[in-house]
Amino acid sequence: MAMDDLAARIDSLSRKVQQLRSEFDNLTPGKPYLVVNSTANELRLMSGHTLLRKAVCSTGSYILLRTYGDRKWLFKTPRGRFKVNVKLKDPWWYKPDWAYIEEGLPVPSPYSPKRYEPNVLGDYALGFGNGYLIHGTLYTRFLGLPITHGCVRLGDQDMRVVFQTMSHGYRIYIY
Amino acid sequence: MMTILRYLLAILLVITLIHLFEVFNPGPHFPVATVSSDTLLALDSINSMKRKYFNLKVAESFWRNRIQLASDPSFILTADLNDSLITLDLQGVPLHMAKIGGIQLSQGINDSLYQSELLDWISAPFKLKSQTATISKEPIQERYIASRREAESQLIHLRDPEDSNYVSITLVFNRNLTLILKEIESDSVNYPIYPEIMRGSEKMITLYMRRLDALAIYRALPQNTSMILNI
Repeated sequence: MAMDDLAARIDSLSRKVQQLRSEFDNLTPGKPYLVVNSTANELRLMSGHTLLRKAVCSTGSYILLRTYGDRKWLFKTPRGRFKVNVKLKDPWWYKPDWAYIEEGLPVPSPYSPKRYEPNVLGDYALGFGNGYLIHGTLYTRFLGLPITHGCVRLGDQDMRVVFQTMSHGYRIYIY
Repeated sequence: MMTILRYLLAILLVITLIHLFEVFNPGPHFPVATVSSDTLLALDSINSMKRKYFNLKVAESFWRNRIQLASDPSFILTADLNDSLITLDLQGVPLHMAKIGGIQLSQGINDSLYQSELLDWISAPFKLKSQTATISKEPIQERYIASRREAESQLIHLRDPEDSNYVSITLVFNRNLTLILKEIESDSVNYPIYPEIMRGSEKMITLYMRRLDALAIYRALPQNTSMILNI
């Protein structure tokens, strides 16, 4: 009798655990999403629990750039959960102040047309907030190295697939 | 539960009496009651079922906590010692899963296995109180740079000054739990696949994993993270 009782409890608890596992699994987005490992410089394009594509990328260099006037920038890729908020084909780069300071050039006005530079971000870009992009690169030899100013760089082939698969509002997870 | 205990005690009493009887009566056996192999099998079966029930209770707590923490906007850590997996979750999505290559448990934890005390201990997520490591949380390199080209060439040569540091991360949680993550030094070293028991009454778990896994997990963990344990 005691064994029967225990067996029944085990059966019921097994079903409960299975139900909880399913509930947890259902928290993973059903739509495609990106996972970026900024330590290993790897990007995974996922759909549910299925890996669609794995790619080598480049993320923030962790360089803290200091310059005159006590200005400083930390080139770090932000961690957390984001959404695709902009999709750009043939994107132009709006050069921030640090890009001029790094090159020892005078910083133009924020509205200057000199700020806009074509053909440096590859053919496609996905924005995920605060000016951060996932984009292509001219510098493919640096892929796999933490070398960017905070954006995520991908090779052209990988970027095209990511761009075609990801739509507005799709999730990006960076850790 | 009390019924099961009474049942077990009765069987143990019968076995003890039979042994005592045999010790003090080496002569011809009287036709007394004996414990059949069926009874012993039943005893084994009950023990096995009790362990299964206990493991399911732990698993229930593990998944319930994981679901509960999915509403938390920060990264959380899960250590599943049954499946030898350590995972970094963010809002219910497992982002990084790493295979645990070796496990060491302190005597303090091992003694509480299959005890109700352990169930109480792991019933809620553990809260991180402090963390220390042989590597930095953020590998910041401060510098003045003359040009981007110079910056990139410097990076190739100077990247990750901590490459030679052995990775050992100590995470101290509430309820006296200390979790240590260590890098596997080389494939030639044999790490304990089944938990190795270490002396000490404190509750300490050491997990061995690949260097990059330990780094990725440590650098993503916020100061006030939570951890869920399946043991």
